[in-house]
Amino acid sequence: MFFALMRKEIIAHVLSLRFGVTFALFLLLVFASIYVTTNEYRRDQDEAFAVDRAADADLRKIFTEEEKVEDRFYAVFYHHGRREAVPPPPMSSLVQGLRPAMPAAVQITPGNSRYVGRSIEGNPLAGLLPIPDLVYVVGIVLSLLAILFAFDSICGEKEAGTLRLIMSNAVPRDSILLAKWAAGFLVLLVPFLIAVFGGVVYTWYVGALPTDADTLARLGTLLGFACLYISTFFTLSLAVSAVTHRSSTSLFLCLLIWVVWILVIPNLAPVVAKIIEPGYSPLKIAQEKEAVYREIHLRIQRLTLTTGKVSYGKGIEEEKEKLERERTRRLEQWDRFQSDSIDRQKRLAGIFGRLSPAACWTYAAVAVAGTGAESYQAFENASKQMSDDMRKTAESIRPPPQRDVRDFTLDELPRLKLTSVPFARAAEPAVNDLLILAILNVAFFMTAFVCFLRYDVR
Amino acid sequence: MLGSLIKKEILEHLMSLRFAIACVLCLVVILCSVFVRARDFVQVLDDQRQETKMANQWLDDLREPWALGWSGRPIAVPRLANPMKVFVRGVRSDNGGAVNVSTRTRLEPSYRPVSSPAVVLFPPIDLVTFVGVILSLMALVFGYDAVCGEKERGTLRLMLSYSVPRRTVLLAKWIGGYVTLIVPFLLAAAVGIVVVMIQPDVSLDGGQWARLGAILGLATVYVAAVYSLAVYVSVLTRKAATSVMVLLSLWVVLVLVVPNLAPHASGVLHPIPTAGEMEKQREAARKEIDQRTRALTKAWDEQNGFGDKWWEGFPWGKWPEMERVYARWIFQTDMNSKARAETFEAWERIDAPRRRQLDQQVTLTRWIGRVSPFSCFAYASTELADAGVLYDRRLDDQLRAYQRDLTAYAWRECLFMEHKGLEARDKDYPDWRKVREAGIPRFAYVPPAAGDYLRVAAIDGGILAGMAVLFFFLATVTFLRYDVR
Repeated sequence: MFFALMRKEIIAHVLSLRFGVTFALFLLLVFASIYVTTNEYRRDQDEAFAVDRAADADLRKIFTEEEKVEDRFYAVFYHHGRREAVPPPPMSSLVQGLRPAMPAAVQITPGNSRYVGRSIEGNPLAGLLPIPDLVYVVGIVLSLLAILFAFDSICGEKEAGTLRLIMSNAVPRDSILLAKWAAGFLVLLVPFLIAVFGGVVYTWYVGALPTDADTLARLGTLLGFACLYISTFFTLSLAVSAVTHRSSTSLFLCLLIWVVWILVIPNLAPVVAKIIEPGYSPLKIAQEKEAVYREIHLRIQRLTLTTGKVSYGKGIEEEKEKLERERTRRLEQWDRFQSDSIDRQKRLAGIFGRLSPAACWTYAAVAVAGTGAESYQAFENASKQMSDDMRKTAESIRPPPQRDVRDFTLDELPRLKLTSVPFARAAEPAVNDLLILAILNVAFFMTAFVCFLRYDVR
Repeated sequence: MLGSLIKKEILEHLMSLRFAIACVLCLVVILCSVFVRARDFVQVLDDQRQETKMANQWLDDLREPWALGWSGRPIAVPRLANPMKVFVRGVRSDNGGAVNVSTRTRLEPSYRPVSSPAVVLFPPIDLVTFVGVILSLMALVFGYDAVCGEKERGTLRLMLSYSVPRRTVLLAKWIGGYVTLIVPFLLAAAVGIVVVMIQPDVSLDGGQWARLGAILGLATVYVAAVYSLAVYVSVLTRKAATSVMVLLSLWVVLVLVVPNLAPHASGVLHPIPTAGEMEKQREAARKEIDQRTRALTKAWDEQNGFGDKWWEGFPWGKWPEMERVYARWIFQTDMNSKARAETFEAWERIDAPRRRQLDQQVTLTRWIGRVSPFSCFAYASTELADAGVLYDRRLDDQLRAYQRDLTAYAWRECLFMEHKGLEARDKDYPDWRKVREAGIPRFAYVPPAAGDYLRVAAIDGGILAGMAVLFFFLATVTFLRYDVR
């Protein structure tokens, strides 16, 4: 009975206009999206190579132009530093995540990192709207198509009079609902999976996606999340269609929920978080830190005046060290204050955003793909590490107590060592999103089931 | 007759659920959007004031401006924070910020660290996104069953049994639906503008107010185009379910797909050299100039007795030997100054064809995108808000000119430094001070004339108006032959 019902539903869907439209849109959109993001990835890679090449050429130029080793040392370590491109994360060919907001390069001198913004050479109109990556297509377009597939599953059949006809046979209502859900979701999923498969094969073919086990695991999890997310909207529409009696009412309600979930809540969540936890702007923190620097610098300068001691010797060195320790402590306090405030803001934005499945999907997808907050943190850690390495290298070339600079080569300069977060750790934050989506699915299906049991089919 | 029909349509819409939803969405989303964006702008303005102060202070305190030439240390040129970005996000998501201008490297935008990933993943909605995405969806919901819905309910047959011209019925439907849709939006936009006005520090000048008015005008034309399309599809179909399916599919393609894919499609159809390829060409040009400069310097050294490691054992500080060194430094500085100017010229020559190609690509993007009314609205609005391609290009041109001025100034300072050393020894030495300018050049953005804004927005506005008229005309023609039974 169940399979007969499912077959009937599948045939009804496949023969409908909406299936034709959805199939065409799925194929077109998913493939176009993957094609575009793959090209973006290759362009990013190309730019990263160009930045590295230009930076190496700059350094080589210094080595050729600066005749004295001392001049070369100062030019390399204090004026120029080492510039390293920030390569795109491997999965950004499918999921952009925070990639567009990451710097193009980082310029490192001992103890200091300067981030370089992304090139402004491309087509400026590309920045007008978000890059249509897989997260965008699934999150916005496919969720709407899922609604279109199911908004009249029950109330539409009631309006057409076919529901009454089915119910006049000895068919349990739960079987009808389950058959509707399973058939509709299957018909929705098949074109999606075909399109994704085609897109991923293309990405692999052009070499924009690694073929290792880690990537496969990420890809599989990403697709699982996408299916669960699409199912959430599909089940929601089914529930709404079981609650309402007219397909137009069902459509309004579904579209309203879609607009609120997709366009309103996720965009308002960071704002609410910002209002609750305003924090300081990075510039203000930088100013405060600058003020600390200046104050301690002046106090060190005044040491000789206030103490009447000479500017060298044990006593004055101790005082200087004390002041430097105070500076380090106060600077760390400001850093801690800033990072705590940002963490609280992030947490609040995450909590409010997760009122919408779209935010759950986006957070989960970027976490699984390794293009989210973790990847940004990994980049920041790598640049800090490189800065420390630069300091150590500088000290090894010109040891502090001595003044002599030994000759050095380009190969001795440290490089940016970006490590990707392992899949198991990257997927950890996505567990909560998985649970939320699963709970929403179950809740909507239960609502649909309970309402359909009491549904007036006349 | 028309008045009565419009009244009937308006009343019908006012009593419907969709009107209540439209009102709530317009108010909530527009108010939240402008409130948040205005707050962000105040913070950006505050940051920018500090940045400008610091940048000016740095330039004022620059005791050794000649170092700009040798070290190539960049100057951060702040970009003006644009109050229009409270309403329109534009082609760049950030407001304000700075561009680093150096005498050695190309222009580089400064980078602002990501404070919260949520803001990057879900940027606050602006007026263009609200109108383009949400209001257009509401326009479809308002118009999808304008004709076929009445046919399904049987009221259309009843109405046309009276002596009412069909075109009057359709016109009344259009006006009634459009008014009930646009009035809540305009009211919400007006409240939003008041919210912006009461924010401290957010002030628009006369030109900006006029352009904001033009953006709102464009929004009404855009909604008219989408609403006309909805009415047309409703006339084309017999069932409301088919109409809504067709319209939502069209909406997905025209609002969510075409505008996002247009830049990428034009990139495929009209490819331009990548940044990497350009960098290679620039690097080759620079290398060639540097090698030539080095060869000339070496030849000069050989002619003037400066061998390898000449500095070892040189009587530093002893005159007249020092005069030889100064002469060498002056020659080197002069050569470097010329090499730098030549490098920038070479880069300009290399960049010029690509910039032309990029312009063609942007034009192609616009024409592909103009299939969608949303793209037309977004392109025109961003230009009117001074946050579009026109602004980007003008700023880039002006910054390039500034970079050339700054480089020339920095190397003149370098030359001055060397000559000063000689001047101190020789009273009859020519006074190099007179070649110095009053001070270090400062950058000030010159906005385009009002006519430029209108010119770029006129095409898109015209297309939108044309779409509105065309769809309504097609709806009227189809409705004249519509089977109301």
